[in-house]
Amino acid sequence: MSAITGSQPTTEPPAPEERGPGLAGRIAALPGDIARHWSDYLYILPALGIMLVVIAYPIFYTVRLSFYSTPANLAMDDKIWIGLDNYRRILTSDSFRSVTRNTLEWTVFSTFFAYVIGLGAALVIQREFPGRSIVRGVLLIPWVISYVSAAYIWKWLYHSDYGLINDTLIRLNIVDQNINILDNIHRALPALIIANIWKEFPFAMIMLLAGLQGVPDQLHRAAKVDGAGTWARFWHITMPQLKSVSVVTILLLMLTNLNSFTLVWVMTGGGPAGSTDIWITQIYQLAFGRTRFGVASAYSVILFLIMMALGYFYVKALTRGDAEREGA
Amino acid sequence: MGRVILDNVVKRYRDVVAVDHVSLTVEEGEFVALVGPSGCGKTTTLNLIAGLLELSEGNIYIGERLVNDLDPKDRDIAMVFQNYALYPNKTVYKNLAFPLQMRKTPKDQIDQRVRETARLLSIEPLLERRPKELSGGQQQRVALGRALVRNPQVFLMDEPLSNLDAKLRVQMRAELKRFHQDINATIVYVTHDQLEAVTMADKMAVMSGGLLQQYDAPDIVYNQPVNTFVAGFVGSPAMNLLSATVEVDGDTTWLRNGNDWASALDAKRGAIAQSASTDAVIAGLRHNAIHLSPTETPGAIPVRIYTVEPTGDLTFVHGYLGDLLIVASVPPGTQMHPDDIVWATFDLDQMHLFDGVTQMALASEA
Amino acid sequence: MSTQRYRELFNRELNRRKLLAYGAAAGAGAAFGPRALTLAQDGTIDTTDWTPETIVAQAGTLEVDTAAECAQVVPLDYEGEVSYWYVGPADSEPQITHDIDAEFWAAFAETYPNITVNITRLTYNDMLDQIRTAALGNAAPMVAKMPILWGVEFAAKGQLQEFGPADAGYPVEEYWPGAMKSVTYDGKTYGVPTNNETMALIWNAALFEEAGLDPDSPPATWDDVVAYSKQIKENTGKDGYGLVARVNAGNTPFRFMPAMWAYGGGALDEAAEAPTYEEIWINNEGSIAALQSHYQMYVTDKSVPTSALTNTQAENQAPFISGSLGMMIAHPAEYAQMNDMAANADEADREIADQVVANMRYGFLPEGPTGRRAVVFGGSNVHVFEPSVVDGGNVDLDAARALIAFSTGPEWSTKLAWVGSNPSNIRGFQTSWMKERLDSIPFLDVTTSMLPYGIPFPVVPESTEIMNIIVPDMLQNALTESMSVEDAANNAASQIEEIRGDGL
Repeated sequence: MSAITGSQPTTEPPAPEERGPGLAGRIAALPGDIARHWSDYLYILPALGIMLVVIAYPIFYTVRLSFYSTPANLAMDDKIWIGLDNYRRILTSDSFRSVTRNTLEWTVFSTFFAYVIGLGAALVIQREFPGRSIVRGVLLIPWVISYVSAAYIWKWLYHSDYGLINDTLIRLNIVDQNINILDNIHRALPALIIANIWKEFPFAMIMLLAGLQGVPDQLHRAAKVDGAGTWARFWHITMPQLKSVSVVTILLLMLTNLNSFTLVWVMTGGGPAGSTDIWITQIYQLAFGRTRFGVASAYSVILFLIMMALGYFYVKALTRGDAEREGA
Repeated sequence: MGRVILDNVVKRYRDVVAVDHVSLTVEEGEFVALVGPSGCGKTTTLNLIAGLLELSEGNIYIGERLVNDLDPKDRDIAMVFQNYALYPNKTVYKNLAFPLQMRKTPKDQIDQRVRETARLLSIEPLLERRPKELSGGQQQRVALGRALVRNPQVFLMDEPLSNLDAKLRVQMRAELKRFHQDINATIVYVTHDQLEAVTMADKMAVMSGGLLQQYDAPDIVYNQPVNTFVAGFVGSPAMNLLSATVEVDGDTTWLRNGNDWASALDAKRGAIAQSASTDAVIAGLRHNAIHLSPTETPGAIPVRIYTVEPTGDLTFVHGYLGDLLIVASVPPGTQMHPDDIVWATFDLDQMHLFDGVTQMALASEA
Repeated sequence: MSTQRYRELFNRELNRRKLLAYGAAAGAGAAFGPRALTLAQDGTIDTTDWTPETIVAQAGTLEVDTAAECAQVVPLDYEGEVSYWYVGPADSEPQITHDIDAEFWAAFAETYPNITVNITRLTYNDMLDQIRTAALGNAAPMVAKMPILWGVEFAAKGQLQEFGPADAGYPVEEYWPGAMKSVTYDGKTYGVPTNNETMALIWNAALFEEAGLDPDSPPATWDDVVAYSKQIKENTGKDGYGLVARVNAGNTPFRFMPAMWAYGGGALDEAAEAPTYEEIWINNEGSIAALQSHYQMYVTDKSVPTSALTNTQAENQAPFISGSLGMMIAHPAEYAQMNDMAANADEADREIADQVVANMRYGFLPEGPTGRRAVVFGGSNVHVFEPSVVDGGNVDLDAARALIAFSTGPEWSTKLAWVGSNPSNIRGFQTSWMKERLDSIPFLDVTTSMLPYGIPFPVVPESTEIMNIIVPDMLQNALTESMSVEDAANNAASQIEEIRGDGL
């Protein structure tokens, strides 16, 4: 059998020299670019001005405050410059370790399970079946109700003395006395995480549903013909196509979870014995419970840096697709 | 390789019959093209053979096996899709290996077959690339390779050349043909381009409205179209179909179209024309069966030129024969201009006659 | 209590005052009724014998002429202007509170017609931040009435003027020692108490009886609380004492500190006769004993709600009204709240709720092992700001004095505290309005009788942190057994040391 002779491809990826100026070149050209677009800047000046005042200045002030020790009576004129002392104190304190551990647990587990359950839900409601729109509506409810409502609902579900969960378990004879959920230092955080997952998975579901609908049908047919069963198709075709949506979803979920305050604060206030204290509640407590603005500022600067890092990856993930499309 | 038998295959969608009692046999090693305009049912038929759609009625055999209830993966077929459907996040190697992986073929065997197939299709240097880095032609070869690597009984191809530009299409046509010959594959090939079908296939199945119109070798389909649809569909430019009434005037049979034109037939053709169920017939003349001359000759019919298309090999002249726009070819370099009046005569040897009511070809004694 | 009856009282008083004024002006003396007028300088109250009986007995024994008293401080025709911020009556409060507020301003306008008051009413949740911000921006009001703990922050920043009861024409002795502690900072007085309240112990008499306890006598000591709680749990299966131990919640220290103080402990030395707020008592013997008693109830006897660690007092109310909780420390206004809850209960629960209400009893907070009884002093104070932080840069001191004298005298400190509190001026307890309140508000005699035992939280800026965070944390550490009782107390002590020791 003779080989088929190949013909030369008619389109090639662009050669490196043609891809445009490098980073150094772009920075050097910046002043000229700005000068050329000066009238454009005029248009955005009002909005930029408001943003500077409302966002940039408070951030600057908070960062500045983080280098001071502030008095409990909030006589800000009496604050003392202590440099990085606040940071040192935070990073070496025991509570920081346990609060960080709690925060990581909270963020990672909430994000992961919200994603997985959201993916499952998206797969289920992706196909047509009778009653589909009702199911979709019901699945959206946790996302739609307010955090405070959700917190109270779950608080009473979990209540150690009069909770619905305990009541049901006892009636079904699964346990013979109430289980201590929210007031148990080992169970409180997992319980809160479950409530958080319940609240968040519809978001992942919606994002992934949109992604699923972008998977070309032909790929599924090709895979079917190639002998791939449902699971193999999901793994080899659906998941890789969902990669960019998944990255975005997971990053957004992580950002939300790092910031989430209401559920924890309303349900346990950070207790019992600090077992559900996360960064945000700790910062809130430092600022408004203990009125130690200096330390709270330092703490929030640390959190801010971490969020910025995540935000950077988020933007990178979002625009990676664009770059690929333009270059290919 | 095996053969494919379609036995009275029907596919219904509620009240629409997409495939209407189609029966045909694809012999081993045959390249069969399913052609027809959009919506004629050719792709549906292909999907039925593949098992991607369920039969409403009828039977399908692949390699002597009845495959009606079998999943696509169990039918021993391979498909090449219009957009190739290469797995975008896998390398070429992994794309080729995927079908074998799904069959739990041992790793070393997979490697062997993949490399063999790659060598065959001259895509070895591309094995570590991803589909988006390949040109259209390369992608097609990878798609072919992915089909080939499984050693199927039948290759099913769904308009694989439609996305290519004209020049590449011509190239790839030749390559596909070569592919077919080298491997002696059984291929069922769907296309809406009759030229592809004509050039590549051993047999053409012309479909329209879910029905199989004609199934035969390309030259027979070309030269002996079984009805006006096939006649008008195969061949480019399309065959001119002239409606006329049969008039017998003594010994001569005339074809007349009102006051526009009339043409005398020879004895043989006259007899054929008279065998129509009514006096309405349709005369089919390809572009090379109508001769145009700038000077009037007896019996010639005037044609007003509408437009002139020089193609290099032939010059196509479009003109109005009465109300009907016809196409005729003239040698290159012939001076003809729009709005000129030229004189057309018919080459009776190349005239096809169809029943004006049934549209079927009127039998000829061959 | 009907608004109408109150109005009758009020109008009667106004008429009488007018007549007195005419009478005095005409030089004709007249005695109306068997009581004589008592002027500010003459009043003395014997507070060592302060029981429900004596409270009831003394009520209605004093007539007060507010205008006359105030006239001795600032002439009634004084012309001036004063700005005033306070927590206005919330929408959820009973109508009578709104009515009294309106009548107060009307009465003031009538008494001092030439003083203009720029009134700003704020909500409880917003006021502290708003006034902090205003002071920082030199836009503070001249006078502000604030809950008891808020003032120390401003005093510590030097934003308040020295101003005490004497400046309003009332001797210091007419105000509760605990209340005066709360307006004293660094040895100086920075405000005048306007009203005070303390909590009491309420219990379900029927549940006590079911458990084999005397339905009419509350636990006398904290050790009794532990024992009663256990007995209730063992004999009825219901929870005994309504322990509250949530972090970041004000309810927690209000209920736990009384135990600490009763046992001889405290956070700093706020329970001492003359506190310096320099000593740390949180890990002394008494505090540890208090902590141990709660540990006993929660961990060993399991006689209190397991959800105590995440409960606020609000979560105790439903169990109490449904007869599932034996006793708890409650604010005087909770009786009215419980009544509301019972009224709104479903058919099925209504009967139980009504029964509980009928069986509700109020009593003193328990004593410690040495006989010491303590309760958290609640209430409000009125302060005058320094001119430098006031909007406009100056304070009309006389106008301020007039307003403060008017509002902290026996008449109005009683009326303005009608529903949920008590007059700060002790003479208020002798007025007929007090009698009216005693007749119409159940258990008022008991809740007011706790006043002498009131101790305010430490008057230091770190008080909120200590009370709302460090103390509940300590409680939770002990109750979850994350630390031993001693370790939890010592841990709290070192935390307090750290924040106090910073010097800031």
